[in-house]
Amino acid sequence: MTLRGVALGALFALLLAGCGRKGPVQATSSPTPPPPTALTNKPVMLFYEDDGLLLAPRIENVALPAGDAASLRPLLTALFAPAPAGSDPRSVPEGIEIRATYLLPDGTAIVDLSGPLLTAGWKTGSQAETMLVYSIVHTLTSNVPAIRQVQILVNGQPAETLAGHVSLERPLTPNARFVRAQPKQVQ
Amino acid sequence: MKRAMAAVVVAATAVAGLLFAQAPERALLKSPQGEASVSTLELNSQLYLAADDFVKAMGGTMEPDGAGFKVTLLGKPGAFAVDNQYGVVRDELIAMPGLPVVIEGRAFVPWQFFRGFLATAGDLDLQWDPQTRVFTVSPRVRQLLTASISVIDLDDITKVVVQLSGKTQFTISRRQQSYVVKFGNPIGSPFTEQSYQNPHLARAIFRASEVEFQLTGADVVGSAYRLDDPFRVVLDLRTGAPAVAPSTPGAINLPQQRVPGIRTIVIDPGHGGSDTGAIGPNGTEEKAISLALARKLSASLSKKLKARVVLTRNSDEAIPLTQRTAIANEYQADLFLSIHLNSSLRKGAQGTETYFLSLDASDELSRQVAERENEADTAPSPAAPEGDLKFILWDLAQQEYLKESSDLAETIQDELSKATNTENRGVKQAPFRVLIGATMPAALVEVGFISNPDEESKLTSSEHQDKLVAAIVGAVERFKNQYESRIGVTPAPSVGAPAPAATPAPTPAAPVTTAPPTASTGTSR
Ligand SMILES: [Zn+2]
Repeated sequence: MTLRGVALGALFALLLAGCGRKGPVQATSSPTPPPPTALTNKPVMLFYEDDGLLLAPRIENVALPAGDAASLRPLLTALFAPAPAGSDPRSVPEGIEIRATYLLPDGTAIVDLSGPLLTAGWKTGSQAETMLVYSIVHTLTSNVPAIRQVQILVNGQPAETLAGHVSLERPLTPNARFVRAQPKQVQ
Repeated sequence: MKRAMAAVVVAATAVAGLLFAQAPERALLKSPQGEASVSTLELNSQLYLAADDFVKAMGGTMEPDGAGFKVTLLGKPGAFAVDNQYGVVRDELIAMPGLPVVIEGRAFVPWQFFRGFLATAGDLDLQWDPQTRVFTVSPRVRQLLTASISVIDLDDITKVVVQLSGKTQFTISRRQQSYVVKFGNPIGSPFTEQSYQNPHLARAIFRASEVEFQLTGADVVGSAYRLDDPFRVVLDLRTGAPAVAPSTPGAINLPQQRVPGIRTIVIDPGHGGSDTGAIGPNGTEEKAISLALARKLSASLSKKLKARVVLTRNSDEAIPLTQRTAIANEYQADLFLSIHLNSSLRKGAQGTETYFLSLDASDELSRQVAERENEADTAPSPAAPEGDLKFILWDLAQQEYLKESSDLAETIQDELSKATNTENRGVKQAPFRVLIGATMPAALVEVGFISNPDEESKLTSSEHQDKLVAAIVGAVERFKNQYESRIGVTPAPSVGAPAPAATPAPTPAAPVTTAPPTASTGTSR
């Protein structure tokens, strides 16, 4: 995929956002949710903010369909699930939802977010914003080796930031500075 | 002419504390002036040349001057000193692999000093063949470099990118209504002359090893910086002076006079207007505290550092993130600080965080820019989306300053942790939108967690704010001192590995200027 054709995430995003409203992008991505297939329970790493204000992976079992593209949404659904009562809050605040996910052939995962919090304007600091953004990036890249980078959209559109800090104009790659430990990848 | 040097050398090197010295030997110097015999010496496995022999053979002159010697070769003045590993030729430093020594009144310098001297003063090459013990002076063989030019219109700035097929030295000088970029190699140009429909650039003209950019008016000013891999010289052109008259006369209006250092600081109070930023459990809004802190910072920085301080906003108004950086660039700020208050889903989160920009894809970015620029050359009106190219270029702009930004962030984080008596969690790097495109060292500071009720109440107290401000001002002062001493004294491009030479007529935005050290006259400290 040449840059001439695709340039950067912003262009990507525009393209997909345009297509996304009309339906799944046939040529370059797999629509989600996928047609029902057999699900397999697999241990995966979900990244959550810990006491030291860094992301730390937790191993949880998630029912995943076959295929990389199809596993994006279940992974994020598990990451976004509300914290069980009495446990630490997760890195994802209430009011943020997954609108759609795609996987492009070049290893770019597109995560389209929505929800009342983002629509109203998420009023938060760098910490919460970086934690959410990189929990998505690390959860996807750690569990799906084909994913190299993650482009986040808001309501199907390219967004400058989620809350005024981290640029979403280009795809994000894993950022080791926000992760406490990186255990062996779970297959 | 071997004299009784062996004994003398032993004595002298013992005094100088130098080991492994050997007696002087003879070598042959072949130059356009003819052949001559010169003394050499091996000290600490470096080859030294007897300066008097070499200078005489090349038809120059040399005289003692304080702790060093003044040398005139090929009509150009230079100097070296026994306690300085940098020699100087005109305004350029020459790095040497060892200190010059004086033995029985005779000065010996690492032979690389003369290689640098000849390269700078006469465009000559000096080569040493250890097998035959022959030095050869010959005209430097200058590789032809191919050039391409792209001109990109970005709001108020025109970016002119000259890309070359290899590295070379360059100088930029201002003529009445043009900038002339002169390269150290002959240039294969894509055109002889080309006109532009552009607010700042009227025409580009190639001649042998230089390119002249004719401006649309005498009020067009510029600044320049260099990018590597591929080698590029980027000239930012804009009209006239910054929006506000500088407090120091001549500081900004004369770009030729822009002195490297931390003189203008732009402080960016985070958020504003409908964008409140984070909100604390007791209703404190980030935008209000960030503004209060920025105002205090401004007052303190201008008083303590005598710096000109500009705020990106001085009221409760919404300003786009890109505009905040643009303001810093417009004012040619030497430092950019964005002030924020943090928030976390974890109730106990506390302490300070300092960030600088991460560009983990920067290698790829450089490649992309190169590709884009090549396209722009072949297609005069590129169909590629403007915003995208703009974004890549702005990324690269801050990339030039990542090391400084990292130092700045670390210094601030260090001072803030001490002042607030909290654990220093170190600095972090992320693609913060407000830092992208800043053409100066830049950092974003989170001074505390407004989401934590204890910190929220502290952050609203004027006393605590003063403490934070004092810490940041202390950090900026520390950074300023380190930065200025570094860019002022140790640019030292190694001889033989060409780096851009001095002579910024539009001052390079990056500190690539080679400023001679205080000891550069050869008299040393
Ligand atoms: Zn903020």
